[in-house]
Amino acid sequence: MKIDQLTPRQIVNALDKYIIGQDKAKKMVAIALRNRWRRQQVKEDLREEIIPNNIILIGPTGVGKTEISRRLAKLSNAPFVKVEASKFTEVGYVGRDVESIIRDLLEISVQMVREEKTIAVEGKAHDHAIERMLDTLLPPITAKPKPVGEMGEEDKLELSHQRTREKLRAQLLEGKLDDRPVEIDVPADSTPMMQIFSPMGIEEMGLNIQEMFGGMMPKK
Amino acid sequence: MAEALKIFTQQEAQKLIDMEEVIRTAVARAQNSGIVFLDEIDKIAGASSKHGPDVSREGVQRDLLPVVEGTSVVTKYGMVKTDHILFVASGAFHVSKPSDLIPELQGRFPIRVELNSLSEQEFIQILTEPKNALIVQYKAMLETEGVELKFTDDAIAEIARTAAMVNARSENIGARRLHTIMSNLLEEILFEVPESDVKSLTVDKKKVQETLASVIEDEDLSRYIL
Repeated sequence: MKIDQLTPRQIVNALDKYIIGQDKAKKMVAIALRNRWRRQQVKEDLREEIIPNNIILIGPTGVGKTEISRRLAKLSNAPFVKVEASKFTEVGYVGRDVESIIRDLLEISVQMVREEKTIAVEGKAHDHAIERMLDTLLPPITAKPKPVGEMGEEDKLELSHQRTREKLRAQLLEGKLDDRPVEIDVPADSTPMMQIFSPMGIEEMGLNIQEMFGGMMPKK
Repeated sequence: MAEALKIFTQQEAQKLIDMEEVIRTAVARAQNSGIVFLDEIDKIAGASSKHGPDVSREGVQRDLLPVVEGTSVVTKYGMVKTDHILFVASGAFHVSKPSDLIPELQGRFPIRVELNSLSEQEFIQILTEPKNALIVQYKAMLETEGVELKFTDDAIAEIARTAAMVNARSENIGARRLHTIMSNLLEEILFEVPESDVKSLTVDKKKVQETLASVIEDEDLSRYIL
């Protein structure tokens, strides 16, 4: 279900499946969501001028304020962050922290896009993985084998090698080898236990330093 | 082998993904369709506290202002413009009012919607209607133990009534009250079920009243438990 095709009424209906009552609030967020889509369709020079109509939801706790927003984001496949405004009144607060909201939002956005792309290339990645597995199990003899048809007497070894490879491939694809052990090298997933403590407000720098070190550590 | 293949697939996927394109798309998406939910906005409204190490609330509002108004934030993926990010603020506004926010910030939140407190009738709907309703959840959980859990209609009504009553009597925590009540109600069942051989359990009004009676009667106790 893509948001592009959802009218405000359909958005409300979709929200109705999870949230009871609060029709007014649902209606307003549905309009806000549709407005964003409308904005995207507007001519470019005017598009920049259109600012979103931000919303204040007023009501006691536990009536669905957060739930409405969360469902809305899910529905529209939009990056979503929730922040407690009161956390900014805590001791140790520095002005710049407010911007961290946006950083979190972007982090989530990157994650979302990456996941989508991963799914998009899954089939291809699987093919590549099979090839690599075959290379691991049965390293090729020559760097560039000739096509099977052109092989002469002297390529007999190569030919049987190719056949074995095909056989293995079939077994691999059928999952027959799933339980067989195989040894491969895996790069260490994360930076080895290292925490960079940074003063508040320059958390961005802390992140970058951590990444830098991550790159320096040789991948096993 | 299956495991190894999975790892290879992941690594190959990594190689196939153009990280730069991912970041470009992600930045665009965050800018154009990102949603930021600012909870408890009422806590930063109102006069700034005069005592303690509290940070001035107005100061926080002033810090929020540029972000909500549209500014560029530096991130490790590059600049992000916040002009078109949708901000949804929420708050109970028990003590302060939306008009206690600094005018500039008020102006940035032109739409105000009031959500009403939930009634007993709505509690009944909340228990049963949504796709992820509590009763649906508990039923699914007990199904994994091979037990069919049933609620009679009057049991559900009784749960809703109790929730509304406790909400009225002590703190009103809205629909969350249903969680506490349900977990109290089903405590015994959830504990015992794996070791018993019942195939089907029905919760009726009597069961609800019996299980919850002792807790409800003692008002002080219910403050802590329900």
